[in-house]
Amino acid sequence: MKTCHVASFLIIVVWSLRAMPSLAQPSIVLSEVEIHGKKPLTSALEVEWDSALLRRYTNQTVADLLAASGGVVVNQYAPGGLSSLSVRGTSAAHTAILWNGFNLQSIMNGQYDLQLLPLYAVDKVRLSEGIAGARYGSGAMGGVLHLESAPSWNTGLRGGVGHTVGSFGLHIPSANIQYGGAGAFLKATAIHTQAHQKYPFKNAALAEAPTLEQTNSDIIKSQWTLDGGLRSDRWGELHVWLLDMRSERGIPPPMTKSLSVARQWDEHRRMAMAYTNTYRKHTLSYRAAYIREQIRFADSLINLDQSHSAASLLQKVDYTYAIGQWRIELLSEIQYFTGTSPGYKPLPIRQQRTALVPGVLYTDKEQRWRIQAQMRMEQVDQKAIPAIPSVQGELKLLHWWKLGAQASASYRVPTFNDLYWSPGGNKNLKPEQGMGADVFTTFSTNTLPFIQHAALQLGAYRQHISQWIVWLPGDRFWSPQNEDRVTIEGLQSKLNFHTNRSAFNLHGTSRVNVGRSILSAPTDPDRGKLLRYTPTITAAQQLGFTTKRIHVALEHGYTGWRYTDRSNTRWLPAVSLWHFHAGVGIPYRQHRLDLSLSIQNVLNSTYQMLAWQAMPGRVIQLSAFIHFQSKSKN
Amino acid sequence: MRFNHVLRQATLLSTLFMFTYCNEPEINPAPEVPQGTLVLCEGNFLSSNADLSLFDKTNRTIQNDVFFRKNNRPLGDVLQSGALQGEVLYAVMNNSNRVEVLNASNFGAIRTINGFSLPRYIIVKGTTAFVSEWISFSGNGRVAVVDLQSGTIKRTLPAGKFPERMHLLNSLLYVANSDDSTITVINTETETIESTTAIGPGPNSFAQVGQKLYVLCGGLIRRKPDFSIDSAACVAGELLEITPQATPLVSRRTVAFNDRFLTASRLTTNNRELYFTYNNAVYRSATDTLSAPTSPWVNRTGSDASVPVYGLGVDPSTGIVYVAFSNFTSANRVNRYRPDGTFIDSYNTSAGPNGFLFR
Repeated sequence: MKTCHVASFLIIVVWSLRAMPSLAQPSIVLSEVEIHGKKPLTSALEVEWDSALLRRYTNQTVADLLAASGGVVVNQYAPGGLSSLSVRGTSAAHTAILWNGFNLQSIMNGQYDLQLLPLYAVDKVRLSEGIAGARYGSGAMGGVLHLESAPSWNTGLRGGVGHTVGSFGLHIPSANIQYGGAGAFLKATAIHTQAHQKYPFKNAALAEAPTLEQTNSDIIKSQWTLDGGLRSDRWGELHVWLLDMRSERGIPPPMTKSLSVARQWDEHRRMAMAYTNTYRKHTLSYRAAYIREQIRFADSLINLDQSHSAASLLQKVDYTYAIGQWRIELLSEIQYFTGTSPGYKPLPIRQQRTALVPGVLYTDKEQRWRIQAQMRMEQVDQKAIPAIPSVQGELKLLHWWKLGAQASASYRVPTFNDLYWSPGGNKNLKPEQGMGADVFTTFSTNTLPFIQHAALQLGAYRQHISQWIVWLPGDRFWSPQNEDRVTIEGLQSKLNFHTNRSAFNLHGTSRVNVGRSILSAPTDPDRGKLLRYTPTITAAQQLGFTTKRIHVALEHGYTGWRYTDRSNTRWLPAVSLWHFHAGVGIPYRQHRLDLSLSIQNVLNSTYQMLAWQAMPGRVIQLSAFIHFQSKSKN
Repeated sequence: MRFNHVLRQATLLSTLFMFTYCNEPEINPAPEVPQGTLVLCEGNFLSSNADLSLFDKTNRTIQNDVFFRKNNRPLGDVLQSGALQGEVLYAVMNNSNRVEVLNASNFGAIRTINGFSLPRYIIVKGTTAFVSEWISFSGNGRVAVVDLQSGTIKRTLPAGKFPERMHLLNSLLYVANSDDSTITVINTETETIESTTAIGPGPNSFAQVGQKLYVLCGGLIRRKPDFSIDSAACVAGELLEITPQATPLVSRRTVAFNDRFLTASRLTTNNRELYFTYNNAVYRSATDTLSAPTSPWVNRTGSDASVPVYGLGVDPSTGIVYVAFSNFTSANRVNRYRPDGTFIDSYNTSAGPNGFLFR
């Protein structure tokens, strides 16, 4: 059995806590205050990275963040290469990725490449594990990843420029500027990334595993964003977001191939707005977005050069009415999708989805318990899909002990590739359908002597997904079928604590997911086998401290061994990676210079996230940022 | 109940539980290798899981993934075909663009020959090998002439579009250009091209009975630019007998097969009858009365009913017919049939079995 770093870490945490005095000791402390209000219930186990935590990853991507500290599986072909997310044993198409509330999952293949999501313009990342189909629609079966840009009210004039250099030719210049007043703000960011990524790796697919240099793995990527907002007491609040991202990447060869000249170009453009107005007990919100993605893939070795594009227009109207302890909500959505590809026949391909989601939330007067129910009714091209109900509740048994449960249905609409790819597309595909439940309990305290706050969450989940879409070889070509059924079950734990002593803040988290995804269709010859690339254990731990000027953190990510084929005959060993971050902020008047060091894969481990795709060893990055701030605002 | 108590117990339990999940599966040791039938398993495209299964005819047992178990590394991506020369096995790795040379007794890797472009099939003659290559998914292919002693490609010879299987007879190498209507004939002594001759639509495989050479022309499926089938341009397949010579002549041919939208493939023989796959079934034709497919000799049934027929071979020593069913996504199956068509037995193989090497 391999050394299990995760277990070691947990044991240390357990024994540290054991050594502390019992809670039975009398103490004069205030109990933790939870503000329920009108906030809807969220996932049982939610992880949030706020702007302070995201500073460690300022010039990196959502893929880097989740791979290092997400406690989830990020399947990467290479650093900078296509990266997809697997949450709670589901596949890449089963986690909704919401940018300011709009789902970015591609209508073409149901996924979103996390490497194309720089964190530079993101102020908050939340990962909600668990079914959320009723609220967020198609694809929210394993969880939802929220990427949010915060409004910049009352910030005054501020901005910054920075540059990161790192291993394998990495250069990331970046800049931002913003002005935030009481009634208006405007924020602009720009970031450019380039690296040759000729990293050495041990090619275990060749005899005697020679050390080679990775080829055709370069990346060049640019993104700019513009966020703006207006607000007044009378007219409500308006936000506008614009984003343009372009990238060009080489597609490195797998270890079993000596050469690749394939390249991929991606262009993403997004325009979105959100308007919210509250009048007495009524709140009306209108959100709209236009999202366009374009992919070009070329491989001169096989004379292939194809471009694919998709666009979506999303509109949401959300009305809530608060009366007494009740909160009544009505959400309506209209979404148009269009896709163009040499593979789609006949063109043009379009799809329209309309949805109505009534919901109700009740909170008792003492705020000891809450219950929420929603029902999603959706039509895809005027064909109704089965209603998606969801019921969720929380009960606070003691001031430090909370219970929660959720039962929900979920679904995933077939992608354009599934429906229209020629040859093989299957227009008769049905949506995947899921049904599952979560239970969780939370223990929290503010009364430990050395730790201001500690919380332990334990959860269990189970979900059945039927009509799972899988591409199978047919008589003439591969074609997608609603063949598979998958049962997903597991246990999760999340422990976090922090302590403050003057300007010294110590904080730590540990998240562990132990579960399995099993093929369960009665007629499946592989029934009982584990789904490929779904490890039975994933974990993430983090321990760090911050002072007024310094921050230091050590992170550990663990992805357990996982099978790489459906028959469970081949597998990848577990991946255990340590990462180190340190930074210092040097103030000068109201300005500040931030210097930081980031070392990923500190122990220089050899690993693969996808079979026979080489990953780099230790990666070092040094960053310098100059932040300036006008005198008038702080 | 106190917070500390709950925390201790819960964390300890979850730690113990987690330890149980940390156990990785173990690799079975490399197999004891009897002389047996090799099943070439191409694996799933881009998954690098191609391997070999070894069927022990005496004990009726099968060992899978024998290359990986012996060498602790993958054979490569897409094992297209292979050839045995004594105790040396040449494995053509299509998407890895290489030929792996193995010890056929213990499956230990000997060397790798690189430099190919979408290699397909191999014929070994003495210290020289001929490897058909597609080069790309559009233009014409070629045949690489390989010096097996140095492990290098010494020259390439132009072929037609999508050159597939080859057959060596009397120093002449016949190359089936499967997306043309031609076969290219190469003189293996001079390593030069003798001719490229039109014979029938989409030739893809050969079978030799005595000094007669049979060619299966699978038919030509043509598609419009939007990839839909161009019905008017499709041509049905035929089964031919040719006179093997520098410029081959067609001496006999069947009528065109009745469905021009299906491809026939994998012609093989037991030295009396010809077997080939068509419409996901196995068909048989006598050599003296060449016949187009009418009713299947072996059809898909039971759990194989939806799995494509992907490999076909006839054991020359017993006449037993091996049929491979492949869906590439998991371990697949090989069925065996007696010469009278009765089912014998079935075995699970590695993913994507596509051919057999008998010894």
